[in-house]
Amino acid sequence: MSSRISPLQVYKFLPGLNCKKCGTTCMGFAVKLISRQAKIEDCPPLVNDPKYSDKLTKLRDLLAPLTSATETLVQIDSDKCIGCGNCIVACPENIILDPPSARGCNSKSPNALWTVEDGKIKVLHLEKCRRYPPSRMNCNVCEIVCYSGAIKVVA
Amino acid sequence: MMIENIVCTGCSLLCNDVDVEVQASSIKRTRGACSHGDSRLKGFQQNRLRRPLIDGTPTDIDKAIEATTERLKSAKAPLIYGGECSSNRTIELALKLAERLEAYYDAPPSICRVVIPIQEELEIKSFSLDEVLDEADFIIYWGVSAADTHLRHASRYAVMPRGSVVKMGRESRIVATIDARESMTMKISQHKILIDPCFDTRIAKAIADLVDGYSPSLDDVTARQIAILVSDLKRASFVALFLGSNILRCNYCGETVRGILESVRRLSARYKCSVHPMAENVNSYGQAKIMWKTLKTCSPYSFKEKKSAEPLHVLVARQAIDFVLAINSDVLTQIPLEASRSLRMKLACTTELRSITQENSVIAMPIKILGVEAGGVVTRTDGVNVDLKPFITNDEVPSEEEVLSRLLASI
Repeated sequence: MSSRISPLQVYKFLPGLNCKKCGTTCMGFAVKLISRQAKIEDCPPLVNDPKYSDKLTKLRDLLAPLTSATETLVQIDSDKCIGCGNCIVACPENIILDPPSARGCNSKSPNALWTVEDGKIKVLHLEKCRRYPPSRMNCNVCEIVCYSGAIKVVA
Repeated sequence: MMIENIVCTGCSLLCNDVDVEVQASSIKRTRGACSHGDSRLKGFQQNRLRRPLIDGTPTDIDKAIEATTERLKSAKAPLIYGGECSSNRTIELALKLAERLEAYYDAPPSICRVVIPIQEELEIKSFSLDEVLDEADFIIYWGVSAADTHLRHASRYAVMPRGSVVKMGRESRIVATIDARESMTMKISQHKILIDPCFDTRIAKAIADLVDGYSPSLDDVTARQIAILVSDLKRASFVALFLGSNILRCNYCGETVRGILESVRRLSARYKCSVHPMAENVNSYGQAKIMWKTLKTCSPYSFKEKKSAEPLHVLVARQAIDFVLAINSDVLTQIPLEASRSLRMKLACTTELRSITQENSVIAMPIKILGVEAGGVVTRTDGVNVDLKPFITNDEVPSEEEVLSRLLASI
């Protein structure tokens, strides 16, 4: 069962008025909230109307993991990381940047996306991740192969 | 100073792509080592014995070797124990020492000590991990969680990397994990089969039966899971089987391994099959291999009677052993507490780090850290010999090979 936040989950806590005060429909706003292109405060009815206060609280709780995630909407918990290197070798972008890692070696190139250092994963160039804006490709290989659950795609 | 491509001695995978930053004889930073390797490489300076001890009093190595020689010579039934964390040369010396003393020889239990003799008897091949990387398209982890013991096994060799034949890496391989308990390795496995403890032989036979077109007699759920596994297995060309130490917990583990390997022999008529025991310690494979080559047994051995001896805990319980030389091995953790009490103060040990055995030894001899301060050849978990090169100088303590050579010369 995926723990990723979906637009439909967010939509449930929006007013559903489609007033377009945020510049788009409520579903479009839900997508923008998840991709951090909009803030909750951009929806005036939700913030100002007391009858939506319950929904507002639930929405803030739902979106809380996004605040600690990187631009790629991936959370890395280094306390949980065991340094197995599965993510480095499985990552399609990393093996392009550092070809020896396709054969199972640790990334040594300074251009690599990530490497294992001191027994933990260390991100070197986050901007080279396929999930980095604006491309935002829906890739989650690193999460799939992570033994310990240290890597989580939040949305 | 950054030193590149050292061999990590954190486990029996012996990863050779690890970089370390050395400052003042200790390792400050590692690159490429998993958390186990990182702890081993960075932690060795914190928990080590600096000087030899006799009865808890610091002494020099000459006196410690002399005292050990005297105790070994005067013992009626000594035991030489260990080798799983030592170089191949040290293991050979330990066996020679045991022979000269007409002593017992044993080492901690290991899946390698069960698999190697049966594998040789049944003439089942074992390819190297590099061949597994290149060609294996069906990986079976049996009774082992590589995610807990050999952290880089899947990423370095077995599952993730792209090989010359298996070009898509993880996407071209099928992974099956068969175990009596859930494990983290199951997360990367397409087939997760939880079996009842000691049910291994029946499962292995069922797989071989299904491949040969017979119906296995199993309960519905397991039979369905096995049938799905076999449907994938039928499309494979190279099957790599990794056997782990959870199998040792079965009653009659030897019979269990034999049952599994007999099924593998049947499968090898159709597929290229490779069997690998997942060695628990850095040189468990080398210890078992040398013991098998020298003594033609991997069981505890009595050089006096020139035959296999009773298990260690039985020998200790009936006080058949009057002195133990532990070769960088924590012997007291391998036997029940009550039995181990009779061994206290009847111990001498060579030791890299402080341990329970060292604390209870009458003579303790610190040695150089294998793969960091001392070189030597060790055997990887697939049977390939790897030459370790020292990269930190330490003249304060001798290497284990030196201690064993001197003991052998003086006896």
